[in-house]
Amino acid sequence: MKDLQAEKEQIEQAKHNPEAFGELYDQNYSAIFNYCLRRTGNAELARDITGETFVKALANIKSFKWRDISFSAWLYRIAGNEILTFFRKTSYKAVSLEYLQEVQGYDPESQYDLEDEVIAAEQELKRHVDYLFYRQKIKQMPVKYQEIIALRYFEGKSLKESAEILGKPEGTVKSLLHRGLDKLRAHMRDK
Amino acid sequence: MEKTKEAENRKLHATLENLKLPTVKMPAHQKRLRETLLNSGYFAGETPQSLTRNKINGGIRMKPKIFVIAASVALMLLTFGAYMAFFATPQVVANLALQVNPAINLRLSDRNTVVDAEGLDEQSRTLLAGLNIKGKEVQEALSIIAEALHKADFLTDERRILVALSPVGDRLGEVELQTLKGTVEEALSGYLNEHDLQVKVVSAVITDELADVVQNFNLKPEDYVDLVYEAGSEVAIQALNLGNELGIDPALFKEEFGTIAASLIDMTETGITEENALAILRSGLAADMTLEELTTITAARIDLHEAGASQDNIMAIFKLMEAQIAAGVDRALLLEEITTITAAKIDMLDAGIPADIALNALKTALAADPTLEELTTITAAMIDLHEAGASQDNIMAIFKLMEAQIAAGVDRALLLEEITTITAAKIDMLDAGIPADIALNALKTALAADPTLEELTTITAAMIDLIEAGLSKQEALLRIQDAIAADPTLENFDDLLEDPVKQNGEDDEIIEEEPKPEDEVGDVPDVVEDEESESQNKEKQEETNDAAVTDKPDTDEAEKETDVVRGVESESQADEAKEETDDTAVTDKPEPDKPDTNQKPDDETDN
Repeated sequence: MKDLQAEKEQIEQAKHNPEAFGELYDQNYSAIFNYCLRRTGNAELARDITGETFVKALANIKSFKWRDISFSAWLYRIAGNEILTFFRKTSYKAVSLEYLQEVQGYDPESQYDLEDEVIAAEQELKRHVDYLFYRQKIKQMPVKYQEIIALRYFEGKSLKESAEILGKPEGTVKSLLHRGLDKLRAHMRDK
Repeated sequence: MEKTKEAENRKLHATLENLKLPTVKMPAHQKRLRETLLNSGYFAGETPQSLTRNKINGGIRMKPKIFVIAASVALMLLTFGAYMAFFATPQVVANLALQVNPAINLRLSDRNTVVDAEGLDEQSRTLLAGLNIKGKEVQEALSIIAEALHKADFLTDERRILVALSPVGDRLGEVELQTLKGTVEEALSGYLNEHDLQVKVVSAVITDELADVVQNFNLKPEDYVDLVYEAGSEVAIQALNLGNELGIDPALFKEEFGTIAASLIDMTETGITEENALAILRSGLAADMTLEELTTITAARIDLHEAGASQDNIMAIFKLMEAQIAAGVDRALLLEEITTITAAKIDMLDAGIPADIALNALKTALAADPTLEELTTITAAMIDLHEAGASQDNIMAIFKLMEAQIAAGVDRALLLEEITTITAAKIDMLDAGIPADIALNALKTALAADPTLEELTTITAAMIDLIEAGLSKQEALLRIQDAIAADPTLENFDDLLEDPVKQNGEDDEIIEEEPKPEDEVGDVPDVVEDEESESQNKEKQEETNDAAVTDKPDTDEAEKETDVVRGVESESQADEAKEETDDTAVTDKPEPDKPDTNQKPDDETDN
């Protein structure tokens, strides 16, 4: 486990230093992308949500209080909120990221390798039939159960970590998980 | 059943723990996003968030530099025009109310200068006493104020600067006010950025109508700026009018308006329309004129909204509460427990129970438990029943049954405490394939026989065992009733059932030759509700008791002999029961050539 003091210092540096932020980004990109991918089952959407998550993290890192929550938990929380936005609106636009790219001058040529990656990711998704089956069932449940089940079983987070990410007491998370499993079991029966 | 559920959950847990998951690498995207982030200008002092807000809010989509130039030109033209038009004397055209914690009111002239400044509290009066801002340009005056606030340690990280701009007269239109707002924000943000202060500026333009109302209420920006920022002046005015409309104590309403506004904001932020949020607020205030539970009430409504309840359904909870209050339930208790009541409803909605049915169920639960001590237990029991496939009528029947028990003298608290046991007993029967009406009858029988509920599950489990041993549902029910009638103390309940079960086991072959169709059981009589049947049972019970007392030998052979006596009694009782069944036009009577499994074969008497 990463030294907490070191992480604290790294975050403080990242508030002013692009390289330090870049390091935090590299450490967390893959986890956040895969979380978004497993929650949404859609590589392109996961890519957009990941982008939006990091733009929002960058925009708000100065207000980030290390003592309240770990940095990675904070990223999971932002990503979770973005996913919720997607579920609520049924369509999703990575507004902040698109705007940032627009301001910087977007180079459409670099789209090719990005699209190849999305295609490869979609193929990887298709190979995991069991996961797709369970995701389909989980998707039918209320979001509060989806997120706790995803954090626990897709991301391997402990109850304590999940509680930190969701900003809920551990007991509540435990109860949510229990009820979520009950509901999932019921959904399985309906298959 | 609970054990099965747990076992299934454990299995599901293990499956999910070992699930093979997709893990994808996106190096090109990772690299591209990294570049975008690190070149965003954020580290050079720009904030992507503020750039984003312009776009989200549908602002002018110009590159930031162009936007700044255009805004500056517009501001210069506005200032110059105003200056030329009113060269002679400064005329007050706008009010600027500013609050960190100290609250200040500035009157601004058509020349973009401060005409006068007023402290709205002791702190701000002290602060302003040492400042010279009269006649200064707004930007400069605001920088001076910000500096004073900073020195006085008011601009800490958690604070926000709230600004409300309102027109005085009709000299400034919406566009001019918005431009002025931009100037104010720029001046304050400039100071804050320069001093690396993490203080947020929230500003709003309010209408002169709202400004009047605000003045009448003597409100400070902290009470209304967020609301105007989120929902606009019109909503703020409507919210402010609710106090008069509902006759709430004006002093209390004023004191709590910040909370009221925050509740409205919370609701609109979660997607409740402004109109609906106002309607909810109105009902919430009407229900709680002391405003003690207002945030609890609105939070509960938000939870309901998020759980998918319609506005009508949300409002129905208020009606339900008022009905309960009219029925004598303490208002304070209901308000205190509003979260529990709402959570109970949400649980039902989550469980897939339609909203109107959930509301009815809640009504029933509230009626059954006016002290609300067991409310969630009751609704959880209802959910369990729903999930076990019980119909709405059948779920409600449990509560009718409970009320009947209470009317018959059983303690309400005991019944409520044991509601989980009662429903679990019913669910077990439903799970065992016993039709809902028969299960309800069995439950009635068990509750009537055992008002202390100590042996409730023993009785219902026996019903299941008998059916699993091959008896028809009706026969099993009759066997249970006979056993209870034979020994109302239930001390020998298992023994009284045992032999017929054994016998039934011996008769397996015969039963298998002519299996009873499952659907026959649908017409079993309502044993407890049928008074005639009940009195007959009583008579049978008395007869059996008499027989047991008279015939019970004192020797070790007692049990055998009692069995023999009970066998005879049981036979006649079964015949009587059959007759009763026939009398009540039940189609479930045994076929003539089919052995009555309730009757002991002749050879049993040889035991």
